[in-house]
Amino acid sequence: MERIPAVQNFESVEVSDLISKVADFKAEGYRLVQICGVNLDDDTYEILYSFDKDHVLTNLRLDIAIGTEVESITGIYWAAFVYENEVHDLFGVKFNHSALDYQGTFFKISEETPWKPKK
Amino acid sequence: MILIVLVVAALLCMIITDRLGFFKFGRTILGSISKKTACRMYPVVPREWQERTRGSVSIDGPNCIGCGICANVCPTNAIEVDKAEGKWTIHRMQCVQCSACVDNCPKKCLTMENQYTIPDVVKIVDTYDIPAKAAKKASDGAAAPAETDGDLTCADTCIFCGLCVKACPTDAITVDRKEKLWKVDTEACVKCGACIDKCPKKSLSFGGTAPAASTAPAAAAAPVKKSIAAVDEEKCIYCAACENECPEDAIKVDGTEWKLDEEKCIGCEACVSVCPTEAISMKEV
Amino acid sequence: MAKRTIIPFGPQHPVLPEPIHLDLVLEDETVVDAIPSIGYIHRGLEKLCEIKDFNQMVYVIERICGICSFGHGWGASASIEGAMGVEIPERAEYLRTILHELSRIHSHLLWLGLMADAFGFESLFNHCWRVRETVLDLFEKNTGGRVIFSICKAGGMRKDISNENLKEMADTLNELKAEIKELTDVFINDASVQNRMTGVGVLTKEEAIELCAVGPTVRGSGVVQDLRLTGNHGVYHELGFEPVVEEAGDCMARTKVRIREVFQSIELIGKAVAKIPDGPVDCKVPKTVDGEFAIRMEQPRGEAFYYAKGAGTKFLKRMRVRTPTNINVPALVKMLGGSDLADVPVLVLTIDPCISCTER
Repeated sequence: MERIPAVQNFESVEVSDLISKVADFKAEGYRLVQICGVNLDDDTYEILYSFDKDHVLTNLRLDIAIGTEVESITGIYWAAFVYENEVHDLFGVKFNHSALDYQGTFFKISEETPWKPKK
Repeated sequence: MILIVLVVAALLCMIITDRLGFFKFGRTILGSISKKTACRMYPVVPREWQERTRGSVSIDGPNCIGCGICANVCPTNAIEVDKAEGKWTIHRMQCVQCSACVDNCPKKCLTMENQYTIPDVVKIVDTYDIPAKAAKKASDGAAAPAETDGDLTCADTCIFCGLCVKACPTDAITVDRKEKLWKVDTEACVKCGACIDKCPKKSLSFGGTAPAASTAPAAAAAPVKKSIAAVDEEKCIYCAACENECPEDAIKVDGTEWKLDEEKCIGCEACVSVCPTEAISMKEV
Repeated sequence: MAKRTIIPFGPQHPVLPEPIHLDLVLEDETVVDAIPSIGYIHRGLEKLCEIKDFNQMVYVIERICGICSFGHGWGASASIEGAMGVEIPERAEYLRTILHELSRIHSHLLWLGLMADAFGFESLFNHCWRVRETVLDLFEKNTGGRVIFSICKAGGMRKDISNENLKEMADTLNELKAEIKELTDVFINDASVQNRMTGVGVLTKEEAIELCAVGPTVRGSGVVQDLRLTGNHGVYHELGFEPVVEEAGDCMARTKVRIREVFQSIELIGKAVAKIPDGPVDCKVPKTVDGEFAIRMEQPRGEAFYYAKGAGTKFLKRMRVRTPTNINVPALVKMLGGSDLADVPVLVLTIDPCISCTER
């Protein structure tokens, strides 16, 4: 049997380039698959933006120090609000200029930013 | 007479509504009137469980060695093992019947019954007796069976094949072939005996007298390669079970070819024991 | 301007026993805007990867959802296998495909019943669930569980299913076809059902793409998007898989997609059972996970995303699951705009919401 392994495509991106890069993807007809936060260590988060075109996945990896504010991509992909609010509520990453900002009330959780490393 | 008229009228209504596109479901509903009910009259007619149904975990207490692997693999921390007291406890409400403990039990004393536990109004905690074992350092372990008395030791027949390392469920054993070193972490060892069953040279035992190669590189015990594996190509089905088992990656099975790297082979006979068709034997070098 | 009213919908609503809350902004009887709100039952299952090793994580991820539990178990296993660089035996891939399609039948029949219930067709609901019971019995016989199967593990399957049992499964499903046809004909032809679904909640092709919708929601709008086409998971490329697509984009189109997928799944299981090779069903896996891997699965509700990142120990650094409902919520919000208040329950159900999935 011939197997077709899933393509693993990870690109690094800087905070300043994020919006232009995502806008390029949108213009090329990519679909937003998901955004997820990863807690690398006590000082760094990795935010993974995944895009799909013709069933091939491309991931943008954004490494930020805790406390860095990120520009929201809801202006380009409106549907990103579900993920951005999730990452904000769980990790405490602030997204600027969001089209639909729940301001920490998207998830009703007993403590604020439970997945942020406690020092 | 009136009854017949009513029935005819009802049927007519149905046909007309059906034509109009309504009541498409009528036939199914009328059909199910004559059928048996889909439900079971539950307490009167009991449910038949399938052979594979994961209902509840049960334990064969006397065979348990209190190794605690079941408690370690349990994703919900439903199992508690108290070796010193000889108690095996399961929190029935916490158990999710994933059967991970049953699969990982080295003594096969856990089984998954296809019956559920009886519903209750409190969270049931079941405790079973297992052979009590004195704490490690205590000397007067009265109930301890003789075979698991003392720490795991390796005799000087060891060929450092490393199969015991692979078999160990708790990663307690380390083997270095180059240094001819065999070491056991007595804290981590749960004395399940999985390594003893696996050892091709039968060098392992509990509380054995041989000091083993555990402390010093035993020069005298350095394994002398006496024999290597050989395959009977008539019998071989090229399943590659030996390739997977070989601790030294000496065997390669490719299509209908069985190849042995004679340099790498350490003569541990692991391939001989796994071969399903008994095609492998040892030959003298 | 008509007077505006805000009506809260959920998190407790008779039609949907799942905790989603919508603030519906109404002008007269028409919904002009909807603000979704979830997060009532966030469980933090993804975070458990820090204290549960990767073998236990498969059992945990499986419990994200009671309907597509096999798909979640498979997704978690596949992402871990990918991170380890392990290739599982062919028979295991076939078995996974068969069980995954079986759970698609079970999920769609469940959904058809719930949909009938949403527009008040109780007896149709009962009959859909009666037929589904046969599928659940097949699951119990072959895996040991009716809802949570615990048969998938990193490295293959925990149990083999004998060829006789697989044959019997395919035969039972073939016999079930006539009964399912009888029920789905009601959905397609009955005038009262059509009144509730045809032309309701239209999502155009452009909107569906713009809102990043997935699964039957997007395939009902004429977009060919089905992860089974890629061959990244399962053996679909060997079975001659063709995605089911409907053009209309309304509730009826989405229902038709799911109805046709039920029959397609029965066909796929038949083909897979005929082709399944003999051999082992699991392989050895390393004791630690390193590296990262992202994989997507086509689940009954649509595309699900799994991402595993190892840390060189038996614990994962991150296990991410993005469930289909999560990304269909924006599409739902779009569909609600301009609809009648009375259609809201039908529209909420049309994306096949699983809020518990969304709140991992």
